[in-house]
Amino acid sequence: MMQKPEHGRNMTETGKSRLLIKMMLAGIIICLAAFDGSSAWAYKRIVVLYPAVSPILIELGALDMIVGTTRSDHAVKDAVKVGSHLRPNIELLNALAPDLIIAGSQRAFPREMEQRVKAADILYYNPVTLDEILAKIRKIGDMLERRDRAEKLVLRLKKRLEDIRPLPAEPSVIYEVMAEPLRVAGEKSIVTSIVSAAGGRNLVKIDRKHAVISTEKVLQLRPDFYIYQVGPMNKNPVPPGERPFYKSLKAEFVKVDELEFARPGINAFDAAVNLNRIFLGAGHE
Amino acid sequence: MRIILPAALVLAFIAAVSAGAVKIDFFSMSEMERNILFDVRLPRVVLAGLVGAALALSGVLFQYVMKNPLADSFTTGVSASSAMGAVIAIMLGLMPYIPLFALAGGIAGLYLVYRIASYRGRIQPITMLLAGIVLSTFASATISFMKFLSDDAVSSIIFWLMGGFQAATPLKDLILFAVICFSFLSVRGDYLKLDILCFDDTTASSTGVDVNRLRKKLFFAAALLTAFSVGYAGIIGFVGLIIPHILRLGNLVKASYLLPASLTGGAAFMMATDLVARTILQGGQELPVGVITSSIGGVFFLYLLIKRRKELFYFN
Amino acid sequence: MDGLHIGKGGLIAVLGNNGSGKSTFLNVMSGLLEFTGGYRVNGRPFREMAQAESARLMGFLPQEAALNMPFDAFYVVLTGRFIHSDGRMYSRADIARTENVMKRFDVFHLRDRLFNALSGGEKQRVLLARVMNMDTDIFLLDEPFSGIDILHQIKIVDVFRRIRSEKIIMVVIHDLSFAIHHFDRFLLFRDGRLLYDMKRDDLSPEMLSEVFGVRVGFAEQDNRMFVYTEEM
Repeated sequence: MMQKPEHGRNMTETGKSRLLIKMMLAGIIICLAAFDGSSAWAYKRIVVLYPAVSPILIELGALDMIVGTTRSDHAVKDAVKVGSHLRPNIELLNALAPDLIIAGSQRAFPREMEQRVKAADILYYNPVTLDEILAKIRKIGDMLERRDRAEKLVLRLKKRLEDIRPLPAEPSVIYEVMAEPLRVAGEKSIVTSIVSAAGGRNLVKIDRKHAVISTEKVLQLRPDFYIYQVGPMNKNPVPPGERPFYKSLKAEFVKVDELEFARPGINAFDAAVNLNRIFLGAGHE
Repeated sequence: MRIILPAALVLAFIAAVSAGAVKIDFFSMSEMERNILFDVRLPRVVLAGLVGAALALSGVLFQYVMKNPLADSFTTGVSASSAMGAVIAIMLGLMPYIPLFALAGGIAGLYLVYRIASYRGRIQPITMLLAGIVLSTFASATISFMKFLSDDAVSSIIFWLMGGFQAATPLKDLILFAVICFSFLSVRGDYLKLDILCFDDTTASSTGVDVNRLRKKLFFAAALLTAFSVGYAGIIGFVGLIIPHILRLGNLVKASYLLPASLTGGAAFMMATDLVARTILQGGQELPVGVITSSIGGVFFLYLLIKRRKELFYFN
Repeated sequence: MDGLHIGKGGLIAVLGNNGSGKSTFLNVMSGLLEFTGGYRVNGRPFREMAQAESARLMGFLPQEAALNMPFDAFYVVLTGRFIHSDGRMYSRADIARTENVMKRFDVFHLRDRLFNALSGGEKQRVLLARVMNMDTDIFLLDEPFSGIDILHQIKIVDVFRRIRSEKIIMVVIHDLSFAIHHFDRFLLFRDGRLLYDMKRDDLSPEMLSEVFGVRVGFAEQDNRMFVYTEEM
């Protein structure tokens, strides 16, 4: 579509003035920061580079503190998109003048980046168990001076887990992250914690988040449940039951949503409860 | 060499079948072991062998077409454009159709290179090489762009591209076998012509070889082999380049030896490297097979290069 | 060059300065270059022939040849038998013939050496043996003597003379004395055109002067013709 030239110019000018306002704001905040040296500092401008965190912030009533998110964060509508979680735009980050950046891991957002984004602290959010998620929620509540709400959320989530009913036997599980090549959830994946919370156990005892394993190994491990996620990592896989090499696999094949299971956030607690239902032979197909 | 290669093939096959993530007691197999052997391991070993054979043969054919020892499915752009097709399939979430997309991408790439490189109905090897390299670069850039677009699917694309034989099925084995048979049989009657093609074009055509027609045929056969290999096993580098080189350094320079030898050599090499890829780590973990092909193959090739510099010098 | 007719018997020298059209003529004859007009071989229009068919009639030695595979000299000569083979394998007879040809051209001792490791002159002799191994009725040889020592030039031309009665042998050559001494018929090219088509006895210094743009003179000594040249 063609745009009239003056229209286009208007657009860029509003863009520029917006940027100017932001930079001025940033300046003011930096000045304020310089004056205020007290320990009762609460973070006010947050950039979330790890989408699983946003729902937690929203629960803590901190939605309006989120000034920037990644492209794939759909929980927050109004914040500036700063790029992908692996490659956020440093200029945009600086322009947003955040005082806190929440990133997934050192690998995604190295410490050195801190120096390139002025005046911002970094919080790494990488829990691998449900308990660690709760701990992180408390920590974030602390940092934002919203301890009460954090505590309330933690209680609610714990209560949610009470819905999990005991199982007659501990079902064994293999969780497929990606079909081709076959990647499964290892010990450092939140999935392992979800599975054990739901009363099962992950058969893959490899000290990593994901492991590429041989399909032979899957047959040998003989899981009761073969859970395969569907989502960005595993778009539209061939259902395991239809794969010739799993012909002799006697497992129950369960399809789950990647966004619900593989992300260590509030959703993980619902996932555990749902999985428990599946194990019980209730709520699934 | 005539005994060594078939022996290597048999040995590699036996080794590849007998070892794996799960130890199988061949003398008293349990139900599970039997399932693992027949449903998983055998199809996989066979696929590895077939892909190795296809890649090595396509490398040899491309080298004849281009008159250049550096030619293989990468330098001709067929590999990258097949991969581009596969990545589009991944992007669209059409996993079961990856081989089809790879084939379509490969053939599109082949057609493009072919059109660019033919002038007045004749293929110009140098233009073809250049066009292939440009296409490769373009396809890689497109893949990078698609990776960028689908942030979340990045790792699935990367891991798919690294290649592997995990998803082997008897049907894939059968199809690839048919493709190899078709390609091989279509060039098998041309051994003497292939040797003559190593001369300059004037000499070759005045000796009675229809150089242009032969090139087209070879190019098509090689591209077909590449596209199917990429579709079934991702991009596995280096095989099409080093296997033919190693064989030539072993004095298999005539097409009548080189072509069958590249089939057996490629198959043996790939079965062996896949064996390493799936057994080197603990707990049933696997390495991408491309890592092994490039490292083992690369080191061995370097050794040969240094040892037999003289022959290589007289290659051209 | 309408109406040029070349029959069997006799060695034909194709003479002319660089760029005068000699090589083009040979290339067109062998069907390697596009051309307008037409000509017949054995009464058949050449255009109708396929690559393999024309190769069965004419052996062509290009000015330059390259090989990018480490073949030994024997195999290089053997490939000349391609048109006579079944396309899959060379027969015992092909191999025997190849040995024979190599001996005749004095390259048999090079048979196991890598072709690309040979000296320039040796390569040229091997390639010549290869073309002669095609055993065609017509041979089109573009500067076959370049880089070859005098001893072997004489040996080669002796072979030519021995077989000339059943063949057409057309040779691009620059050594006038050598040509006049050994060849029977002369095609003289200048500026892309065939200027003269002469038997040896009809050649005159004036014609050669016109063709080459230098003053050419003949001198006879011991019943042999010598050619000398000087600037005009």
